[in-house]
Amino acid sequence: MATKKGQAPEGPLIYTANRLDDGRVVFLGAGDYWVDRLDEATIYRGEAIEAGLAAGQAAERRQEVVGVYAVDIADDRDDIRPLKQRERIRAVGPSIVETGAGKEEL
Amino acid sequence: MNHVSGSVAHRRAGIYHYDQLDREFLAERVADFRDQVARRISGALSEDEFRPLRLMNGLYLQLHAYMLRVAIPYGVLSSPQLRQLGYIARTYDRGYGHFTTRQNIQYNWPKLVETPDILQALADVDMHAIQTSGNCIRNITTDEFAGAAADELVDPRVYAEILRQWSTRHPEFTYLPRKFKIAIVGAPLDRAAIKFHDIGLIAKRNEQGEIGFEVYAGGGLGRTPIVGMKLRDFLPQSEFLSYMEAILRTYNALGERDNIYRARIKILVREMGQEFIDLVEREYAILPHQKYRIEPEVVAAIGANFAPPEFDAQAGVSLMKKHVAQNPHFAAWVSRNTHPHREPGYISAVISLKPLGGVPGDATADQMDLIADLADLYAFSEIRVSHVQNLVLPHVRQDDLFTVWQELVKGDLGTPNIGLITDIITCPGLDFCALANARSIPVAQRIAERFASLERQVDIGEVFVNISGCINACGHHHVGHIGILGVDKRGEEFYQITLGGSATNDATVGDIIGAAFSYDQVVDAIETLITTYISLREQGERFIETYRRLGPVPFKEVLYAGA
Repeated sequence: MATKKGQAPEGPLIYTANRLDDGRVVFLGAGDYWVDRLDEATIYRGEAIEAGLAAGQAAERRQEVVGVYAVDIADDRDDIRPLKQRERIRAVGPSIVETGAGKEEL
Repeated sequence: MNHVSGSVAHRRAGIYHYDQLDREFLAERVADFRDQVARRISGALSEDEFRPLRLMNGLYLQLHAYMLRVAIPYGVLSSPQLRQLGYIARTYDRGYGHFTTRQNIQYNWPKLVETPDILQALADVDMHAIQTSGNCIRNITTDEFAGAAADELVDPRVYAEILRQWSTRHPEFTYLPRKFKIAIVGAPLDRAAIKFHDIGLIAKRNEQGEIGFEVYAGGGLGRTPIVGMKLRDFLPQSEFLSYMEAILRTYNALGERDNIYRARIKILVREMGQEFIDLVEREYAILPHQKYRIEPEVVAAIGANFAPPEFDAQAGVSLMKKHVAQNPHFAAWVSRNTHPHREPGYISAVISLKPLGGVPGDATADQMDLIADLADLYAFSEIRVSHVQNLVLPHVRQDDLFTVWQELVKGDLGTPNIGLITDIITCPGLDFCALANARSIPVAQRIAERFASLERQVDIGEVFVNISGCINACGHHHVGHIGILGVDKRGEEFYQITLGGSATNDATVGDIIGAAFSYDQVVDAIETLITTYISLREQGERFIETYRRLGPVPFKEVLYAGA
């Protein structure tokens, strides 16, 4: 269920941010570690949501990540699927074949 | 292939050559930023404190990673500079760069910790990323054929450089109400979309035969597209700088700083009209003109940087003509990808960065090397970036053109589509940009695929398709003959189509044609528009002319026939 403006979020949602040193997209995973893969993100619902946010913000204060925010995800799937197209693209990378692709990623 | 040393090539190219003062300034900026990054990593600077500092050095945080926007002053590069941009792409990014509608280049994947090294690599070739972000005067743009075009009255690079020097670290204009974009062209034909800039300048002669500028202000795209208003019909060259100062001062004093949607000069000009012009003239009248007067010696000294290269007076055209007659592929490329040069025996070659299946505006590091090598061998070590995201070799001997083309083809740079339906302006869109609502690049790719046949493209003729992934309009959709704007509807991508826009002398904001199309529908919609045009056009009539003659109704009727 999507979070509605002005209401406390109910989830399900995940937390995401950009890593400080290289800017890459990361997700808050098990043990409050930041993970690269969407499918390793921790799903938060109900009362756990606030604790997740607190963990994310603490990581910001430790200069690990930048710009922590919650992403609403679909409630009816086994895999994690953000509700918005923006977040789906952000989670997996550009939808296009990048120029010169085929070279090893840095 | 490179037979010219870097320093010689840099020296002979028609670019502004840094002096010791310029280099010391850049070295200080790199050192400052290195220190700021270290303090950010250590936590001594918070993100809120660091953000304005990184933006002042062109470093954004985008959807997937940081993005570094590098300034290419008025789109002019020497071959060592282009080679260095390739080196940076290869060493610090993913092996490519993206040329933008501001004639700059962006890297999509730099690491924060390596950014000071990138800035140092740029400084090594007299480049930087300053004034590519923030509420300052941004990179001044111009005609990609500056100094080469047959119809040119004055070389706009000279005045763009005067503006660059005047605006760099200008204490009064570092924190304007909003960003500020200036474009200048030196020929009667507007090849830089000047009427859609905060200030637009176009050279002209007065009745006495003197050269000056027609001055426009308050143009812009984005959420509120507006055609600029003429402030002066003829501004003498000597008064150029003081008049710019007067416009900026008036804007700086009156611009709405507390509302981002109303802070651009276009809102002020639209609402004040003649009163704005009167205020500018009043400000102009009280300025100390001696201080701002550009003496002819100063113009000459800056102009020396852009002196014409040593053209070969004996340069011929017979070889090019022979190859055109013998090779239809070369002939097709020459007919689309060249521009008349003012010097007999020379021509400007446009290198399309819009190959089928490619990302519009992207070039790989290897391609940058190839183009730099070709510039050294055949084009006096100069390269230009166009605002439609292509590159230009401005001065090529016509008899060398066949060899240049053959090399370009080998590097997948020989697409003969300039001004055709596949020469699409495209912003990075939702594939990269944090502000975007919808993807732009795959839409451009699908359109290019649909119209892949060159024969069909040539039959359709000149049509400019511009795509933006959000209302900020980096893809100039308002001024495309066909404009496509990505919008978000409940988290999904939709595309609104505008028709009839124009970015040149007949500047026009396109008309919104109707309800938006889904990602799956939008390419079919473009094809419907094109087939409608084909069925309605008169002999020799371009898409834009047919649209202007008939208006939106016949296009709308077909487009929404099933609705």
